[in-house]
Amino acid sequence: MGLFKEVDDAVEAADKLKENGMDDFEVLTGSPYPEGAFGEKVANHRLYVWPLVGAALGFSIAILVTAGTQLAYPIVTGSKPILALPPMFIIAYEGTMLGAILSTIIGVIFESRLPRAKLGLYDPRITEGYIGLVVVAPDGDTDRVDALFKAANATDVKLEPVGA
Amino acid sequence: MHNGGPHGHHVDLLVRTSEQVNEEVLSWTTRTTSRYWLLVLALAGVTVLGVIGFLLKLSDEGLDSHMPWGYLAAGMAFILTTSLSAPLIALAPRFAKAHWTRPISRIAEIWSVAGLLVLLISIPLLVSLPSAEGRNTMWFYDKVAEGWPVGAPHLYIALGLIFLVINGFGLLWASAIPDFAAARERTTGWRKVWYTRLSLGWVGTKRQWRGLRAGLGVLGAFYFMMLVFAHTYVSFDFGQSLIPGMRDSIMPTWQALGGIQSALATVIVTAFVIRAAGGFKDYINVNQFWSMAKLMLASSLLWMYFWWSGFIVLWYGKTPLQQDLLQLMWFGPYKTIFIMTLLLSFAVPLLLLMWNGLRKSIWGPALVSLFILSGAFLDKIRIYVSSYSVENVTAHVLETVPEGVTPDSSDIMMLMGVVSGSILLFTLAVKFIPVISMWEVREGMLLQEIRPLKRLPLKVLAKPE
Amino acid sequence: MQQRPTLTEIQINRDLLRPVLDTPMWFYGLMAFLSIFAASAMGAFAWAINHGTGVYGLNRPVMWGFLLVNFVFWVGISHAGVMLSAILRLANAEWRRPATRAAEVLTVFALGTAAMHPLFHLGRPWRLYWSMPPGYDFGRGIWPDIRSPFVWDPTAISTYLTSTALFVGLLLIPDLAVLRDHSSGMRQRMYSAMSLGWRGNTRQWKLQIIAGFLLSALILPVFVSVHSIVSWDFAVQIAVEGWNATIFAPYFVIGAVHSGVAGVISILALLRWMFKWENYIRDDHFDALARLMIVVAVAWFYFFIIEFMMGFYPNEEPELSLRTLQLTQWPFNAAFIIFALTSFFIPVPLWLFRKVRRNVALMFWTCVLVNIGMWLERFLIIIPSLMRKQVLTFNWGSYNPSPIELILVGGSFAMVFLGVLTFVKFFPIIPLADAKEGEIMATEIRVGKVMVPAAYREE
Repeated sequence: MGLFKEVDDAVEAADKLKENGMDDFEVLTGSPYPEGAFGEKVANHRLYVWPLVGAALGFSIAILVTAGTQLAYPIVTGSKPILALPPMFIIAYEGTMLGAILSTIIGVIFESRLPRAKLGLYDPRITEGYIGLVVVAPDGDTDRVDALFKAANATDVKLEPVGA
Repeated sequence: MHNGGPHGHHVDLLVRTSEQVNEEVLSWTTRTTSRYWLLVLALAGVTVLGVIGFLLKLSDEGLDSHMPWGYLAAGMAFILTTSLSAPLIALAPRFAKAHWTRPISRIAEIWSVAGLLVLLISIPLLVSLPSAEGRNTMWFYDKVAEGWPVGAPHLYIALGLIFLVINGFGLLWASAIPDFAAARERTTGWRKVWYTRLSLGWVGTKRQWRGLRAGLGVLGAFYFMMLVFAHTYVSFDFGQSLIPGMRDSIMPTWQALGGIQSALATVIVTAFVIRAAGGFKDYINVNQFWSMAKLMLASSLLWMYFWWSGFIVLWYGKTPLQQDLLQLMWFGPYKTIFIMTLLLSFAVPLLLLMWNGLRKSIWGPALVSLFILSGAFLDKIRIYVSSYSVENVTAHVLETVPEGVTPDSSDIMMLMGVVSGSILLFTLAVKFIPVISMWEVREGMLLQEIRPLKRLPLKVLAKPE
Repeated sequence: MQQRPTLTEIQINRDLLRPVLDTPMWFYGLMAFLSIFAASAMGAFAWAINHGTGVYGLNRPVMWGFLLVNFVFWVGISHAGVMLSAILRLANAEWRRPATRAAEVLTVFALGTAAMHPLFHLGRPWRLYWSMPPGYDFGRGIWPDIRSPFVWDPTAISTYLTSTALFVGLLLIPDLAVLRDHSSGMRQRMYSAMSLGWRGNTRQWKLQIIAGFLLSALILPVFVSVHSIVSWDFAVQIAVEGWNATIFAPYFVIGAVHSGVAGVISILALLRWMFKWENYIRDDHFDALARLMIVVAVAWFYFFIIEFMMGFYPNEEPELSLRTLQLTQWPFNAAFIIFALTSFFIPVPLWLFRKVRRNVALMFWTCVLVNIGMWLERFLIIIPSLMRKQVLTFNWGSYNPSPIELILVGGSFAMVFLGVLTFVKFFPIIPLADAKEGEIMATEIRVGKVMVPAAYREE
């Protein structure tokens, strides 16, 4: 990981990484830069599946609860039918939304590859505006990567074996 | 112009000089083709058919009773909810200083010309509308003092509609002044004469621009208020207060909201056509459709919410009157129309527009808009034909649920004539009033640019105070 | 005037984390002061449990009094969160940045406090579990009747509360990582665990932003449904005059937005004064929020006029007697006038002036007025209607709030503020990530000789 104080230095280093065939690098920032600002690869995700599944689940549970409780004790109240659809719809609506929201939240955490027991290659200065560029050195040639980062004015370079 | 970034980011921004904008828009405005005149002829033909239908109905039924005129009332309400609501799409984003509305704001404003048709149709409707005596109206006729307020509801409906239409024309004219000034320098003959007159000597001083913005703000705010008021009194006087015992406080606001939904649909469809017919693909791009599609999705959801709020209160109460009203309005003779409306105004828009890929396209929102306009059309028929079918308007409560009224040939001709008449007025107007707001587009070019943020080309939008 | 100071990440961290990492002593004093009132409220509740609900001023037919007014009021305030956070996020409004988390946190604590009110109202609150499906069945031999709005209510409120709380938590993760990197010892371990190992790579940031949009879009329908369902507690009832109106749902929702956004503006003003956050909660933000308030207030006023007018529309004696009570008899006539002035006729004309919109003190006080007016609005809907519930005049009742109810109402304000302050003590109330993103996206465009503030826009 190369740690850069200036954003432009980090951008330059990223360009150099790509020129040297190392385009699968990770950018660590303390604030959200628009995706692609450093020339990094687009992250693919399947987040949109989660709310749909959650919504379906929530809807089903709500319908089961509302229909089940009405049928379990079939008492006419306020001259409404035993299976009163409008109230069932209201509660099913809430259940659907709750299911969608809960599963979206779980989905976001999962797709973000969280929770993570160890931070790995990281530096607390990232949350102070430093930019971290993390890359796997090809053929274990960390010296080359180290030189590349230093040439781009990296404040610090941290090394760690792959899989740590 | 498309600016592709490393990740295929598409950034659409119009790149033209001011002169090019003027040239492209004005050349389309001043040029008519045979295809155009064929369209005008066809629309005029259907409109004349509508007039014939009206005359036939008039000779058969006269104007003594309101009951035969339900379909005409539905037609008028449809134009109010589509054409006359369309200018909202220019006003509201302008208030919020949104840039996306610039190429389509004039399209929205030009629809106010259909107000002439609304005024025309309102005449027989007002003549045939029963007096307010002996029944509940929003004007509280005879409740506060005998015979007061004088002329209710007819006078106030007429005044309201007249002021709305004048306001709409005023708004259209004011927003077009700088473009008329540009046009007066680039045209000859009768056009030059009229553009010169209508531009009021505009030269574009700082004071004039400030005055224009202030004027647009005031006229816009008034138009919004007058339109909401129009939806209120039209839905009351031609709808609710003709049904004894009906007391639905959400109806006017629901109709106003339907107006917003239909306004978006109207502008989207029109923008789709103008874009293709006028060659304005660089001006009206996916951004306009995407922004309007998002609003249309929201308004479709709100449409359902407002309907549901009315329904649940009536359903829950289960009093005999409430049950009769449910039958008359939704689950009785007009059940099929209501179900179709529910599908077209809510279910289909939701199921289609929930997908971002479809929202962020040009054909997607246009297709959904057609569904919404169809739904709005059916909804107006349901509301006004059912209310016009009640015979005894001075009863205390609804005595029986009347049978459904199917349209006869005159009704069908009138409905076709009303729709084609409004499209005809728009079609004629766009060959005089520049259909793209040139000054707003030019202003937008000054306040937007593409600039790289490090390695990513992004749009930069300025929001001056 | 369009200039704004450029802030570095270090500066932002230092300024916005000051209440968390370097809490001033007066803060603890304020919390202690509020705790007294909150504890009094709990004491009043304990008194009511011990002595029974007779200690409330309720009597036939006014079985819902100040506690229900307060319940509806706090549910209303809770609608600020989604209004500001969700709608402005979806609209890509740059000026939402300092307000989103404050609004969401206010939502959580307002809703939590509101949810306690039905508990205060129960004669035997320890039997609350009977109202939930298993408890009802095992305890009473029957399931709750889902046809009733009183079952829709807890469903909606718990959905909204859960959703908003988790929404706050999820979007807090990047800020918790900042706290992790800036603290030590026990606190560092706590924030480390809560930040779930956040590193700040592109994927994580992208998902955060998508989550913001997606959850905003999902929570918005919930937000609309919650206060609609609360309104249906009243509107579906045919027995009470003034309540059986179809407009109640959107009327209540727009009223909730009106009072909620006013509440957030007040909170933002207090935060700006307390922590000297002039660079983060700027005059522009108050200006934009005030313009939003004008739109919301005018919409609310339209709904109010329709609702009020429809009271007279059917021209029926029972409802006319209610309206007569509201408009002509003490104290309701005074309450009506104060309500009309404070919720609309004083603040809105003032907000039309730019100088007022950019004056933080005036914005604070006008928003306080709005909330006074909106509390009175709910009072005028609930209590006079119940006083005129029956057609037969011998059944007309009256209502006098008891000291216990007054303590509970006053204490509820302390509870909400205490909750918000507790949050401020442990977590940044202005999202650091949002503030930093604002700095990244802020730029200028040259138009002639003028530099116009602009922002990068990601499609």
